[in-house]
Amino acid sequence: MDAEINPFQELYVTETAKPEKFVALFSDQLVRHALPLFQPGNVVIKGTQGSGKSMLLSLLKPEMRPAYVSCHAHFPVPDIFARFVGAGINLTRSGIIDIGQRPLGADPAQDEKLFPLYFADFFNYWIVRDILQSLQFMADHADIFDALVDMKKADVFAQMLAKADCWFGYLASVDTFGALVAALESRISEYRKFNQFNIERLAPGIESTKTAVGEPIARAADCLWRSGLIPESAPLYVRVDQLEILNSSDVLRPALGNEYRCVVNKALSTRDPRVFYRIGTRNYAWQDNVRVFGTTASLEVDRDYRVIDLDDILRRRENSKTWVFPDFARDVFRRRLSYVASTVKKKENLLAAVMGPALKPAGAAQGYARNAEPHVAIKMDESWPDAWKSYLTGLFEVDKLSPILACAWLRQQEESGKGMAPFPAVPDARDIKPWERMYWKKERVRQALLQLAINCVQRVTWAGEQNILALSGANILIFVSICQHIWSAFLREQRGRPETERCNPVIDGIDSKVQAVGIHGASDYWYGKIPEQPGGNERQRFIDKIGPIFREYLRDRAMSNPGFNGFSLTTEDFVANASVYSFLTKAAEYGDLQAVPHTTKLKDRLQRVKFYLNPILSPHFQIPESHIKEPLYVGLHDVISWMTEAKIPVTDSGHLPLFRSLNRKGG
Amino acid sequence: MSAIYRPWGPLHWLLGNMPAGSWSLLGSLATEERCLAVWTYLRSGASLTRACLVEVRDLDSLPFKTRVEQKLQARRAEFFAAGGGLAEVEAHGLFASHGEIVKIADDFAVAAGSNIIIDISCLPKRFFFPFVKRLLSKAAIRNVLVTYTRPIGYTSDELAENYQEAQSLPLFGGKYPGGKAEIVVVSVGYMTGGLPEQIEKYGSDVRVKLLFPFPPGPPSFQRNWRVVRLLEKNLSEGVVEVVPIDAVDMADAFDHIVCFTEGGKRVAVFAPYGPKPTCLAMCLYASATDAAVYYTQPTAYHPDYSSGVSMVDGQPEAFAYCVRLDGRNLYEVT
Repeated sequence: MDAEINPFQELYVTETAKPEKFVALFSDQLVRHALPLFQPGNVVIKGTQGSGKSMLLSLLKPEMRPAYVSCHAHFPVPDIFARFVGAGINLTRSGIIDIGQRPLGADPAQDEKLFPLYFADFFNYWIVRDILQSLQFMADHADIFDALVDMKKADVFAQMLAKADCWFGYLASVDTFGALVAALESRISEYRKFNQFNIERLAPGIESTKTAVGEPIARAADCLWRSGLIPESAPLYVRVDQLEILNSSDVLRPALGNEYRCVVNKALSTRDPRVFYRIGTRNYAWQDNVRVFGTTASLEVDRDYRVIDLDDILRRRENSKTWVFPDFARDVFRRRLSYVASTVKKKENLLAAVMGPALKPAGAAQGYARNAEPHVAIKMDESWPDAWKSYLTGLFEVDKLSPILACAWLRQQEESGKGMAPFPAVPDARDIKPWERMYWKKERVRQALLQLAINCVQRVTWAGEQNILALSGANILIFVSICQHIWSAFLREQRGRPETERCNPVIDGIDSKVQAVGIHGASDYWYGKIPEQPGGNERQRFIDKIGPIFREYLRDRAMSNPGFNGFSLTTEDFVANASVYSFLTKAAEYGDLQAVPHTTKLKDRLQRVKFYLNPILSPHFQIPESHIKEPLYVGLHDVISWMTEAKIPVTDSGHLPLFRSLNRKGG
Repeated sequence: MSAIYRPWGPLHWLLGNMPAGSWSLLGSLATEERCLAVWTYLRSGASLTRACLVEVRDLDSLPFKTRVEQKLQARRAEFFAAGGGLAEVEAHGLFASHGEIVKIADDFAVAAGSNIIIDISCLPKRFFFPFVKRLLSKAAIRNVLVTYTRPIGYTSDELAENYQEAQSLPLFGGKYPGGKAEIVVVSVGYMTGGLPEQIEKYGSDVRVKLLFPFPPGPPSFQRNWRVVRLLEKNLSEGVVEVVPIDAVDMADAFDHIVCFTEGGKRVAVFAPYGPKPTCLAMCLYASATDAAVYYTQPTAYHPDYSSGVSMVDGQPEAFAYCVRLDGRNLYEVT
């Protein structure tokens, strides 16, 4: 491998990348979990930043197909689903949300009613124009699209569509495909000129020919089939990207953003068999508003649309064998390395080959306590019998971890009163040591390592394939970022060596100490990125508040609560205060916290929600990322207190009128 | 390099060399001390006929709220004590609609006469970009100066908080629907809020030009380089070019932009995060070519964003840029 190239340097590989790069780096692992995207029916594809939804949606763009042909690669969508026409709109880049920023007339109240209608009209014109652009592109690449588009029928199609009553006569003079494109572009341009204040008013013809959302798009599909421009077997898929902008932006007035969202909902609500929408959105943006414009009705999951929740698909379950993310990550890793060095293609699990397994606890302990004196590393209580002190000191000579666990066990005995009189006997070499019992130890080993590292004034380190996967939190962007930081640390370390002493990471692997440096860098990087999302400063302050609290709890030398690297609220408390609910939900949906519904082990059997930091933040706060045992049980007042101290506004508003389940499967 | 002479320099020097006449000022009343420097200077010289100071109200932020209110009160008191009138101040929300922002400029233009000064020292980009573009569209305005006053320093804290998703600034949506770009021009400042992600999403086919304030003095350079490192971090090698620009040499920044785009032949989009004069160059170029300008607008600015007014020879260190002289725009792309 080239000693100067970081295969992960470019974090995002989008559809704007060079075709051969996109094809080489795009992992098709998620396609089989997202097949509804390529089948009839409306689909909402949700996921946090970096979950991979943009890459999947980009497969619907006709521009991606030639890349696969030119690279002699198979288009990753099954052939049976690969014959479609794709078009779409990006709500931010199209300028559609500028509608409503400029008054239409003298009456603001009337304007507020009209803006959603113009929004719908712009939406229709933009998408129909994009359909025509897709058709032209597909016709220009007929060999790639298997002659799906018959442009000889283009003018007939244009005439049919122009006559449709949905346009209210605006396209009456159109009689060719080219004239249709020009007329649609002219209308879009008119809107843009008006919104940029380049013209005094919208052309009068627009006001009287506003179209109903979705109708011209469906008519376009209808005319495409009837004219024979495309066969009836080819469905029309319409992407709507960046829906979240409608309800996350302070630039749009909230009421107006909501109405625009309702307009998009209306397009889905018709369940028109001629056109199928694909909505790409971050989690927080979907569930807040499913009302249909102009009605009191709401969209219903599975009736009006299906949900592909990428976070849910990628999240780890109880049964780790069903966890999708590791194979996805390994494939991305292999592709990145293969792209910069073709010789590495054949190995099956390159991630494991390069990063190795996670360091075993005993090895990690040895690393933290290598140069520490026993009394510094173990921190025995003065009051303990000399026999125990001597035993633990001796044990430390052969095993750096076991004495820490033993001390915790002893303290638990003291706290529970069991060992006060007499103090438990020092175990015999043949005895099974209680602190080495499988589950007792398994639950406390990460806490023990944390305490040992603190005692020895060392930083807790993470390295190895399993740790990297765990810290990625099932987010591919975070995974690539961790790899980028590790590789960067590796290259820095290698540059200091003579040429002959340099390693090949694929053959020799990357040293775990170098990995640890990179992982800490990645953690700090993601911590620093929190404020880059709307509301991020508040979330960062909150995390700054709770991270050290968790760490302090985990310093408890009796290790009675090894799961206190997260907190849990009853669902009743969770929904009791609108601002707490909103804040925690947003924090989870932006990915800064992870929220998981769970059932208490207390007698009250109340349903609860537990919250953990995003795993990538664990190295920054020096707390374990694993979720074991019960988290810290807190009440609403505790969360309010943390929020208040973090200068986050908390109102006294009562229960939410509707409790929105955290179960993401509900869409 | 442009053959057009574009006068810029200290405000008193430039004013002294402009055609005789009085001026109308569109500026701001803000938390920062420097916001009144140009107003005070013009008033003392009796060359000010009209002033409109926009008080831009951020969204409430608990950490900032009390201090912001205190500083605004102090600034108002200073303004009124110096003879300012209530009618000269207009309050508007930071997220005012495009229509509301344009109306400020239009109303100002109606009574401004033919000579105007736009003081951008403390105006958010969301306001000064459309102000400049809109006022340059008025043929009745014959002379336009844009002014910028240097503070003594900036807070070492984060300058702002809670960044929005990237959106185009009012009137700067660009003429190319869909956000097409060949070059992304970024002016480097202290803040990056959401910027790296936006640039990274353009992928590896765009060229990224970072206009880097140079020579920076400590501690500025550390903060500027930190931003550069963040921006370079996730992009392919060779995509990013750091271009040193004098932080107040707006004309030079404009010429560089014209050069990047080969005189407007290549499509550029802009991300203004750096010194105001460099942002002004972007604004003028984007106005002239109908280019898009994207910004991740924070919802609140630090109450101590900057401190004091830098003084040179007993005068505020205020720079003035003549952007229209006797009806002729000096920053055009031909």
